[in-house]
Amino acid sequence: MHAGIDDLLKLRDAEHAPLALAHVRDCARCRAELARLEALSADLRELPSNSVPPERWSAIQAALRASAEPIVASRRPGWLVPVASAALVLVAVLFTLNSRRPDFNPETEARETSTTPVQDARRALVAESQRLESLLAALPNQPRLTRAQTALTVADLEDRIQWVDYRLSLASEAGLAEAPAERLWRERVDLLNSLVAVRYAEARTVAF
Amino acid sequence: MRTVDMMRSLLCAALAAAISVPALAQPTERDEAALEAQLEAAREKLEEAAREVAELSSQLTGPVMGDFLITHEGMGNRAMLGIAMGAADDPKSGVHVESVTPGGPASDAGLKSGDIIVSADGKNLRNAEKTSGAALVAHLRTLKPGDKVKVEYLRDGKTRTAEITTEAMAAGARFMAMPPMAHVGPLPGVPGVPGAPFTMAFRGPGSQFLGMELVTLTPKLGRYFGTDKGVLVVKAPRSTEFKLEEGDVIVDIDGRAPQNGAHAMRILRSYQGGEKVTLNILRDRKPVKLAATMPKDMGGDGEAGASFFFDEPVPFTRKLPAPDEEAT
Repeated sequence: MHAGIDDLLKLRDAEHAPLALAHVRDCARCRAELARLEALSADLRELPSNSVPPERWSAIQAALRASAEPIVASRRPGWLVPVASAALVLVAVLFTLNSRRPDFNPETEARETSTTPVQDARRALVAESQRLESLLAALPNQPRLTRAQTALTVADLEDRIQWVDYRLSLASEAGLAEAPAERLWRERVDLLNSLVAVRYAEARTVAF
Repeated sequence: MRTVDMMRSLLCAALAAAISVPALAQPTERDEAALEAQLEAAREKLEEAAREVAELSSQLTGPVMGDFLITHEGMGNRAMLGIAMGAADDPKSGVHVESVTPGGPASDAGLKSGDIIVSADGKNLRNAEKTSGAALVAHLRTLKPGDKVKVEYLRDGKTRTAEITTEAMAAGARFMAMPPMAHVGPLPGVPGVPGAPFTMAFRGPGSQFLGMELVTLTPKLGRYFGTDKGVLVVKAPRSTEFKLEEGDVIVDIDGRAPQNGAHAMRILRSYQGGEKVTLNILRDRKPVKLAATMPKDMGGDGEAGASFFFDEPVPFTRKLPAPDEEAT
């Protein structure tokens, strides 16, 4: 039996997984998979940060719409057509999640351009939030095949975001201090990250 | 590593697992079932991780709104656009859309973060008496959920128009105020309510619908099933509580016709725990009524829904927002 993705990701991230480590030492296939994950992670870290040209999102959206053909008879209708467009989004999704790595800190990343840490942290989170919204917009709107459980999870995440947005509007109008507002934006980014992950997995499962 | 960071890592790993299962190898007929089971387990793990991140993140944020505890009275009757307004250097330069709620009315109408709404139903929001935001809120207060608003907005220097069908705030959002713990102790920072205890339970995942899969009918499919609307049950839920079978078409739920599978689940999610629900379905082209009681873990406002309940009446002494400061 080969190592699972969880164990391989632990090894990639230098976390404690002695059994998996012992297995990988003796298993060429798992060693190769670990090397692939490490290379992918390194490549993603090398990507330029954030700003994706708007026309790129439009192209992804158009490609995904073109590939979102009705899925009725088979749950695995094909492997070839959606691969290219889905792969583009995959890179974006993994990069997005990668941006939530432990050392990601919008305060330090934003400080380069301003001298007000809390305001700049908030600004960085707003930018991240808007980038995630763009990513969501690039996914197919509504898959033909709906898993009840996924739909409920998506509904729950969307409701939570709606609740955050409601409080953000209050914060904006009523003058909530910057620090609490920044925490609301951080929650929004967390929720959007989760929503992107669930929606992406849903779209990809249906597409394939 | 903080718990929420650990959950973010788990979310990333779960996503990788969920999307890698079907891509690892071309399945043969023999191992198709095993791959399906593996994929299903990966999806559930991903969604569990996503919910966990959401819960933990909410726990971190909840206390910051102590002084902004909002009375929920009437919130469900407001017409919402599903945006958050951002502050602008010139508060009369239009409504600066800082975020758009995914799946919300503005999102459905094509609005994006960064747009600037300059008019609503012909009312100029620029050079308003107070602020552009206050002018938009004042206009929305004249509407009820379901009413349409025609907006003009600026994007990339060009003026565009959109018609937004307003909605009430979702029941889940209305009550999604506090951490998902049964008892979280004294409510912090509520003026006049020292140590008011309350009970909060997070909306469950709807275990009665585990395993169910739905497909939106197309006209051709509809002809086969004898209807031109509804959603088709292609995989029945594991639970037999709703007595749904594969091949059933859900035509309406107490008169509300689902537009797609997600909409059907949103309708079901709007019921309170313990409330009666009737599904009007077609089975073998014949109309059948399926009556059931909504599970306790589904309800929005029910005993185990996403509500919070004060153990005793709480005398709110401060109500926010002020009428002209309501959200959109």
